[in-house]
Amino acid sequence: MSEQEVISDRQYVYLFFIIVVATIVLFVPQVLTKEAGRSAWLVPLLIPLIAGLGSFAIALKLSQRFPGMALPQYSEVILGKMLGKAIGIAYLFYLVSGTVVIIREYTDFINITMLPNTPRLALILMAVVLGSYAATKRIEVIARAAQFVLPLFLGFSVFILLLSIPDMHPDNLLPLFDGGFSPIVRGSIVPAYWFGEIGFVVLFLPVVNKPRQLWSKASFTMVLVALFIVWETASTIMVFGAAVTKSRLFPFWSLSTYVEFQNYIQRVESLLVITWLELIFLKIALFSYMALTVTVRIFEFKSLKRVQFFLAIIEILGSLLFFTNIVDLEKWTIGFLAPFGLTLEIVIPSLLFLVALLCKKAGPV
Amino acid sequence: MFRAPKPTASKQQKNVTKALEQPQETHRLSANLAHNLEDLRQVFDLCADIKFREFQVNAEPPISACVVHVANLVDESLVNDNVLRNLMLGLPSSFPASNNVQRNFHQVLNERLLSVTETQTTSDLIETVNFILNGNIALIIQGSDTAVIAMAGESKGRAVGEPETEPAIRGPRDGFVEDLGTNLSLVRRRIKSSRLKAEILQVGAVTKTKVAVSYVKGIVDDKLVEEVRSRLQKINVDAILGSSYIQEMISDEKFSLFPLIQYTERPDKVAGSLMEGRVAIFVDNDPMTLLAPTTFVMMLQASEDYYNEFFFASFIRVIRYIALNLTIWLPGVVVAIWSFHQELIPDRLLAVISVARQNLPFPIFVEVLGLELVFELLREAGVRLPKTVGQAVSIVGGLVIGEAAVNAGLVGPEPVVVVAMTAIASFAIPNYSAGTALRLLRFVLIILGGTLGFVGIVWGLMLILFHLCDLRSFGVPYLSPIAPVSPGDLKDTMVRFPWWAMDQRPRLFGAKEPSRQDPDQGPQKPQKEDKK
Repeated sequence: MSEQEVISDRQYVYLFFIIVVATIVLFVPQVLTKEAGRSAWLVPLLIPLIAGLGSFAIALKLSQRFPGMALPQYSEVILGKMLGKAIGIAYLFYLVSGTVVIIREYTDFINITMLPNTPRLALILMAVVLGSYAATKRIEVIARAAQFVLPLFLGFSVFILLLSIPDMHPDNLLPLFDGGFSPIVRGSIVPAYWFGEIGFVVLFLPVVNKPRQLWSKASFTMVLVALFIVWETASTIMVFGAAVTKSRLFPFWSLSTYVEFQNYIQRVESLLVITWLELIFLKIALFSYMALTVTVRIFEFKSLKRVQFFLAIIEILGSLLFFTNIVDLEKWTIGFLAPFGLTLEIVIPSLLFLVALLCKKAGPV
Repeated sequence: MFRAPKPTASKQQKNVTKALEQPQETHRLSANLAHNLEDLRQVFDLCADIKFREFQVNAEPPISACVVHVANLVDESLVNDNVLRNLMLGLPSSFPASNNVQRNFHQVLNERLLSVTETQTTSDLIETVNFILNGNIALIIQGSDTAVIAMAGESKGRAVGEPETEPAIRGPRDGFVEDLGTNLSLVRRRIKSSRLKAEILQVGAVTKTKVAVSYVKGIVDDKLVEEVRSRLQKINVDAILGSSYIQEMISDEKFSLFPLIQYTERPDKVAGSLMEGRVAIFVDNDPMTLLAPTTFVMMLQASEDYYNEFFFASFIRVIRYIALNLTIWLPGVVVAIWSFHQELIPDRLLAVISVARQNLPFPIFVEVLGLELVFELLREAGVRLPKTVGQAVSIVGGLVIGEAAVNAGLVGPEPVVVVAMTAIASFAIPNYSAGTALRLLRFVLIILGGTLGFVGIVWGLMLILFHLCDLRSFGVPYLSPIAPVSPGDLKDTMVRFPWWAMDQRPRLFGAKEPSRQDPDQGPQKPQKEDKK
């Protein structure tokens, strides 16, 4: 980890997009409608967007105060060696369990929709091998791959959303705010945590060459992401209605099986899965890499490959044994990972920043 | 640069050379002709192609001398007319043959007798041997411990002809030949500027192959030239028999399917690349010239793109990108669809095909894999055989595979269609070595598609993508300008912009002098005169 890699602010933006959209696109309409019903499409515009911007802003402030350092390093500077390492380990725990959850999201989705007979272990192994390979190749490679893949996915999603226009029933969205604001707030927690993951990219990969430009670009991207999700959720609700959307495991996938054009473009869901798989593989790679750098930075290891080997074994075992099925996975995500994640995304970085400010601690300039 | 044995030479190198050049002790020539000739004859022992011609120089009194050269490497008429005749007949009568042969005589030789474009002198035996082996004429004179070398320059070789592996309908028709000097001159004809440089290095301890590093000073990044030079100097092997030897030795990655250095036999392509700030590496005795740095996009560019109208050239480029995609994943995707995702096949087609396939013995995975292997077999057979027989192979192969296998009920017609499509698509990739990489990857994807469906294919493609993103060619990311994106350079990837729109050189290796031309030179309508 001696040499500093640099990725451009443009590449950062791609990573933001992937870290949020890869998880959200399949799961969010269901998670949102569960709480917020037909107002679900309004949710991303409020609290999640604020959470995303907030976690990003704090992370950016911290990385500007400690240029070239990642969270495990400056937490030690701010809070001393023991406490700093403890915080680093908390983040490491989150990142590894996050990786496990993403891997399981992918294996369960594939097992349910595409390859029901393929053993889960095979799918897990594929993901971990790919993630580990990319992680040892480091962030530049992942960022470049992101630039390649994201346009494909966005183009195809927009294609599906456009195809669904003839089947839309705008009445499904009415009345607006039918349950008041509280369902919207309740429905925001999980998406807020997903949006907040943007902060991690800055916390762990502190290579900001043009912070001011990054700020404007990133906030613009987050608005775009939010709008994309609004569009997606609204389309799904308009086509299926809130009740059906709530009952589907993967509403956007259902939407893609439903749309057709003139009898000859039908059953495009395999193509959606193809493009989505690319995103989720990238997100697995990104999380594996973040877990790897955090481990290396906390314990000051030398060899990337050996560390990644142990992380990979933990990831395989974790994703094989920790959850029994997708309901279990969802419970864990909503009940534990979301609050824990939000704490790590916003609360702890803000506290760190406050302490740094009060104790006048800063990194070497 | 010479790899002749020197005190500084490494141990291994010494061992290699020691076995070849016996007289290690006597490095210098002596003033005694007989002694010198004895040394040379010992060096060239059993070398039937080395000619020694002893004669008397026409002076008062006559001076003994000897001309040494490699037969057929040097033009015989040059030896006869410009060296021997002048020395034996044409010495000016006013020449005072004094004891001071050394200085005076060399001057006369150089100024009045040796009618060749360049002469050199050396008093080192090994250097003399090297000059002779490089196709020059060595003149050794009694009483002088210095040999005079008449540089013979070009030797006979294949005439410049059409580039066979990269033909073009429009544009120049000359291609490189084996001779290094001719190749350099072909580029010099196109870039008539003193900024076009060519540095000659010698690589290969035994073969002593000449390697030229060529670039345009001011456009090229000096660090790049330095990097190329140092990588070439690090090579320490006994033989360089082709540019691929160099390519494998100086490539950035030890194991990669993808060619990280491009090769071409078109001088116009080399000239164009040099003007973009790239470096060309010429290797003597190989018409294939290396170009570095290389990006993946360049594998899909043919020089004809720049000679055709830009609309059409862009169209062809798009076709090529489609071909690239088909080559990699078409058979794999077909296998995946048929094995796992039948819902993607239109109903009517599904009905027809599934009835037809009822009686076939193998699953489609085996059929496609087998047919691809047979196709590779046919292609290899066709390439290795002489042209006339090759045609027979392709006819028999085509008939056997296309007709008989289907009629015999071994394979269905659909896999044949798929394999044929893939084959044709793979022929549309202009760069042969990129094509070979894709051919290998195709088999991997067929196996992944047959075992894990689309998931396997996406997994394989992502692995390839990560690998490609990781590659660099002399520091330039292999997938640029697509990833990382550099918008200005996209003008020459999927589409080709007209020349008046490409004002900037490629950013990643031509940044030193970014501007290529004045902006806004596009065609404009003549201004109309005001009507009165």
